[in-house]
Amino acid sequence: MIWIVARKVWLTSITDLWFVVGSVLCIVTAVALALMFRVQWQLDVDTYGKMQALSEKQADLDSVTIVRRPEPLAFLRKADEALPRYLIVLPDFTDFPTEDVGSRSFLEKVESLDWASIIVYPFAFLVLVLGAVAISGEKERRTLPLLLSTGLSRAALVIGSYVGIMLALIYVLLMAFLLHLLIVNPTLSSAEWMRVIVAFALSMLFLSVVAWLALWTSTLSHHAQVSLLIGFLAWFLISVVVPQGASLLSQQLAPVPSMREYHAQLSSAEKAFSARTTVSLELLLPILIGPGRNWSEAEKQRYLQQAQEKLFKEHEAALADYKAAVYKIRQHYLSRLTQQMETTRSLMRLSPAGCYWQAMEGIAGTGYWRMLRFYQTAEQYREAYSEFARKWRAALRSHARISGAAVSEGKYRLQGVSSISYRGVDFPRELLPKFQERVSARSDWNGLFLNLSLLIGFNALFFALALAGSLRYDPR
Amino acid sequence: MYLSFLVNKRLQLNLYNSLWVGSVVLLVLACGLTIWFWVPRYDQRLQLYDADRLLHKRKLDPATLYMYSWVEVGLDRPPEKLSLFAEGTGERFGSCSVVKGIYMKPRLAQRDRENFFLSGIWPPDLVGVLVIFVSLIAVVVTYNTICGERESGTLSLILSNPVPRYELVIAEWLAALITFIIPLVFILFGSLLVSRFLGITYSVEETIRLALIFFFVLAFISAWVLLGIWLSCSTRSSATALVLLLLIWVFWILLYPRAAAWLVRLSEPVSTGVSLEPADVELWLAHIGSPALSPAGVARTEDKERALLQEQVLNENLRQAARFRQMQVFSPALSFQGLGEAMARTDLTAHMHYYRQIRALDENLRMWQHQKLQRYPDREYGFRAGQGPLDLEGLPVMEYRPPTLLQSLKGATAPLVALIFWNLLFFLLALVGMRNFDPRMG
Repeated sequence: MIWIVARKVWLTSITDLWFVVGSVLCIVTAVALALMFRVQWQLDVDTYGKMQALSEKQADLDSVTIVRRPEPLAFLRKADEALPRYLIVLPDFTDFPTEDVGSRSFLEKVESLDWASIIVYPFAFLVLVLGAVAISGEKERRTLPLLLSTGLSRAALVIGSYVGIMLALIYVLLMAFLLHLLIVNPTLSSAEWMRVIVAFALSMLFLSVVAWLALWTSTLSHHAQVSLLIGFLAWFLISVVVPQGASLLSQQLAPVPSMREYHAQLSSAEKAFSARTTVSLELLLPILIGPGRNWSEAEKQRYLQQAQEKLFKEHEAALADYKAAVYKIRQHYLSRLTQQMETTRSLMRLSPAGCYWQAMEGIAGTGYWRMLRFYQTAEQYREAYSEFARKWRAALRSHARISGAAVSEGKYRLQGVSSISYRGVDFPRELLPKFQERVSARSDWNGLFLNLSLLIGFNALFFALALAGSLRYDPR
Repeated sequence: MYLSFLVNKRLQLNLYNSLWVGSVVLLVLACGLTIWFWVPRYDQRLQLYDADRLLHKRKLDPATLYMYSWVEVGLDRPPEKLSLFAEGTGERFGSCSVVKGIYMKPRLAQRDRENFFLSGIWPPDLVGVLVIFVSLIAVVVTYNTICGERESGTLSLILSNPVPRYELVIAEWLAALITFIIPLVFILFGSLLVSRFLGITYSVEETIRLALIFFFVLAFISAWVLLGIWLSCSTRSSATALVLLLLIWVFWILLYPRAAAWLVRLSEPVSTGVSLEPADVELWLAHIGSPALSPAGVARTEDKERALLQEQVLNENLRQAARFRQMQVFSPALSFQGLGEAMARTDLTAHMHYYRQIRALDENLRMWQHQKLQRYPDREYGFRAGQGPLDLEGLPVMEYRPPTLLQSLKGATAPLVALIFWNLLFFLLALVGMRNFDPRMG
């Protein structure tokens, strides 16, 4: 009986003009997207090449910049418009770039268009229309009592409608996906092709949630248009309101320090550092007007040398403490940013669209998850770089550029230290550790299982609701 | 005589529609949540602005200035009060600048930074919320205006009276607009009250701008209402009209801005990331727009090169934003968003207005520096013990002047014309559709 209902729904759908129009639109959108991605991919690869070359040229004993490789599976889910393309690795700290104004595109605010967006918006709408009229349409045409009089169970009706919808959908989805892949034409390893297949399956799973949702709303009303409206509003809530609301709420639940607070902390550390690195004329007084004024020149120079070494030692210690304080402030700030993002992602999981997007990010190796993994890999690299930098800094100390306040009187001078830089100092570049991202690290399987479970849960929930809704129907 | 009757009828049908009531409740909640988020953000930006002004003022204290190369003037743009309604470019292109004349190109800095992890899920502003919600509510209200009447059998009754067809269209349009006025007025006064309660008061010009934002909301709603009426008289059934309208909504409201942004990114790429930053402790000191200087107070060569590179990237981003603005005219939603930002003074035009003031200040400062250095050439990079503070007479100092209402409207001409165009187009289509409409067809 399920198969009879399924075949009926399937035949009705594929012969419906609006289904054909909707399918064509979805396929055209997928094709247009694929064409745009091809061009974008080329730009991304070029930019990556340039940044990589620049990074190698600029690497020194102060810092190294490591660049994030563009993901060939980004056509599945981009989600990284605003994320930095590189990290700055220092011997003691790995940092996100502190962007200057205008470095980040104004268009970052606009969400990316990718395969996942096509699934959540036009394809989901198509499924919604099919599902909303499946049962309420039968009620409207008064054919549902006839169907039920044949001994068809309510469960068979609901499941049969679902199967019919999914059968109608799978052809369109497969066609759009294959065309998309054909045009994008990515060069992928076998593991990456597996991920593409998983992505397709995930897309079907998400659309399955929408199908159950639509069937549920179809059972709530006797009019197809009312069912469609309710279904659309529900879909609107889960794909637009919940993600945007999650972002708004997380800013209140997990606020990041305000810029004022952040700059105040930095200024406080800076003041403490300045206080410890002042160079006062008092240090020269002993040889100018004090007991040392009658010393020989050699003795005065010896005094100066000792005073200079002591000053260097104290100031370098102050500089190390200052850097540690700044790193701590920065680390705290970054951890608050990630905490806010985690809160947003957790709230977004209240919506099947949020689960689907996050799962796709994990599969495609893009987005926030990728950025975190990149950061972790950078931290691992930093250990090797730190050892290398320390060794060569010690060897090339005399070439370092030391700047700081100084006092002088006549031929006597004492130099303080406010920064020590090794920029421009020659060192054996061929020995510099090379950064390499592990390919296997670029999939979030743990996150996928969580989001997959949630999507299955949503399927079960809306299936139960649809079944319950169908049981409420009174043919009299 | 029939017009008022028809308007009244449709008004009552709309207002007693449970879907309408539910949607409006959702709209009001969404607007409230948005304002609740943005007001503290505005407060924080205001505090940062006050701190910047104080800092720049202190840097011009004559008692601390001994060399002309140390002199720098700040021009700070305050956060716009109406940014609660339309965030626009926000702080993105800089709201705090430091001008050093002949020593460095003007440097712009962001005062407030978003969480870059929230890529693509930025919190919406009030205009963004209105775009999404009111267009959807307009669909709910208008999809069955004509074909629904035919299906229920009342259209024949109406047309059996000497009611001109165009009057029917106008009546449906007016009724839909009046339906929206109630929640919109509620939202407008509600947001004014909440802002007042939280200490934000608006000047007369700002109140006029706010009123204009809500007027443009009505123009935006009007476009969607006319689209709904047109499709309602062009289709056989209200279900078909609904499907069509929702399909158009999905593509026009959700997909078009993303597609437009992507096309713009491809046609006007920005060389982001090529200007890699050297990680330098001094840079962490330079967080409020002051360029990273060596302790001697002289701008280093790499600072100048970096400033040039930043200007190049900034100009590319501005070109990209300008190109996106051109794409706005193809969508009533983006046109309305552009208008909202223009009224809130958060659009690209307002930023360019600020940028021009920075340039003017830079030119004046350069002229002043040349004059002073001719007179005191030894005070450029050094000073001798016993020399007094610098002669700062005639130092150009500017206060930021926001664009006037007329300038904002001038900058928003394209989206305004676009919105009027879409209204006229859909009105014409609705008239033609209604003229060709056969009430007998089922």
